[in-house]
Amino acid sequence: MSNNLFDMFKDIIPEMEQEESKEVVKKTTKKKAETKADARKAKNHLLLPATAYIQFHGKVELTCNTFELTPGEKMVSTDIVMNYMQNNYKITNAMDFTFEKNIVFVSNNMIADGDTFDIEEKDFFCFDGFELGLSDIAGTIGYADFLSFLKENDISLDESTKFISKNGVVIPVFNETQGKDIEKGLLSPCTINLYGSYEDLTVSTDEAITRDVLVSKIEEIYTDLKGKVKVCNLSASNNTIGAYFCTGSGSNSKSAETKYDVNTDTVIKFYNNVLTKKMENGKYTQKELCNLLRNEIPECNTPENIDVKYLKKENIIFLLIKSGGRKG
Amino acid sequence: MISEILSKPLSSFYQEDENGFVSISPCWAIKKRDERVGFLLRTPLISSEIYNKIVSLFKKVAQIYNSECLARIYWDIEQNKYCLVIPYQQVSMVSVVPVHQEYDDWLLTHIPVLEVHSHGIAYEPFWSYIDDVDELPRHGLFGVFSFCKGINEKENALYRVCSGRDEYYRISKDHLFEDEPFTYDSSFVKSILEQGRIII
Repeated sequence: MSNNLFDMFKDIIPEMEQEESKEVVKKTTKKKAETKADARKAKNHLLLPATAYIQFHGKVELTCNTFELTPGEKMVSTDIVMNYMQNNYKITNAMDFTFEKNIVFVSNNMIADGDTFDIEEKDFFCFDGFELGLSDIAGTIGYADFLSFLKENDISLDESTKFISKNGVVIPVFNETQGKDIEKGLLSPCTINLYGSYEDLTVSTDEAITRDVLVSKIEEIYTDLKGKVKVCNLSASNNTIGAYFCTGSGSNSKSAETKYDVNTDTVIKFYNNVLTKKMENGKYTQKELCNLLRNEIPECNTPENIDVKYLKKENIIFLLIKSGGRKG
Repeated sequence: MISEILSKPLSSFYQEDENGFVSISPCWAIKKRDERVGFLLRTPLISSEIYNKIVSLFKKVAQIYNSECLARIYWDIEQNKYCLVIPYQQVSMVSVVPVHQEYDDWLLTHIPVLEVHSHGIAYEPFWSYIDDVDELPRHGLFGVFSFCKGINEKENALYRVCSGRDEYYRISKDHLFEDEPFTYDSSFVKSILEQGRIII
């Protein structure tokens, strides 16, 4: 790479130097900064007492005593909270943290793709109070085989369930049950198993059981979970359905599984750019496309931020940058 | 070779070696070699008109709702100019969440360039944990504004370029915007508020 190119680019001061400048500014305006310090601190802190909702695990109350704070201290840094949760609740090591004023949502937002995943010797399967060591089955394993293994250990999950492994923890990734299956499969009264240390909920209605009815029942009792509830694992024979909360998509979306046909006539575009990389004929998932094109498109290094639009008739695949999400 | 890529409008490229990397996105580029980092806005500087609209709206939302606010700037490929979008958004004092995302057909011809949000009057400009979760894993240009000195005072803002490697580099306003004094745009603010895009 040529240094002459820097003539075209404007120099950026490295972040470290800028942090040092920021320190000087802070010192010279210390009095004013102190009055705002609480406000700024609040941004990366959790107000206590707080409630943590851990996907597939349950609800945990967090107080000053939890973190051995001085009585009267009302805030704890989000780093301390995450550290505490990951050390005390193994399942949270596979999950993302979302903080709101005095609530923490801990859930998986990753999707599972392909047909297999890898298990390390030290991994544990964590779900709904179960914690199962996986050293005996370390290696690459298919989802179906893993489901059989779980069934041998009295854990029954829907056959469409996939799994992810992260930081020594394996957790399920469910497909949401479709509305029509719910209406066909459940009769009133039916039971919702909200995964975690929650009590089962009974749903009784004169009308048909629908997804909205099920979700409303959960949200009525757990108002903090409003807008975050998903249902899965319908068992018509037991007249039950599972449920969990999720802050992201957290389920195997269609786009993750979709495979795109690439042949010699396929045009792959990134906005106006027709990409020239030669690709072998075949079917590719979004992740596979991004992996192959990451030297042509920097954004493909983070495939979860890329959307694919496929015009089958014209045989064109468009790669697009997704817009951002929540700020705080 | 890289000069050739840069000379082609809206091209993209990525290369990394032991000394650094060069990341060329359609509207901007960043290059790092050893400790030296350079940034290039490939499309023209964003007009002061767009800047005035953003800051005017942020100030008004801060004043009347004491809340955050979000704005996005895209490059319109067909019109060859910037396009400002104020998404429908749920706002509070501590967060802003876009309610509707721009999708599919519209995004085919509009390239995301810059995403900025305001911390209102309650907080200084800084990158919170929530901002980092959203922005650090992405390729993009981001800004955060604050009016904690008062809405009639000069706005305070930080800007950064994220290269999708969980790291970022600070850039400044003059890397992105035309240098003109701020003028309040009341008609734009009125229009956005009347459209109900800011949801409390």
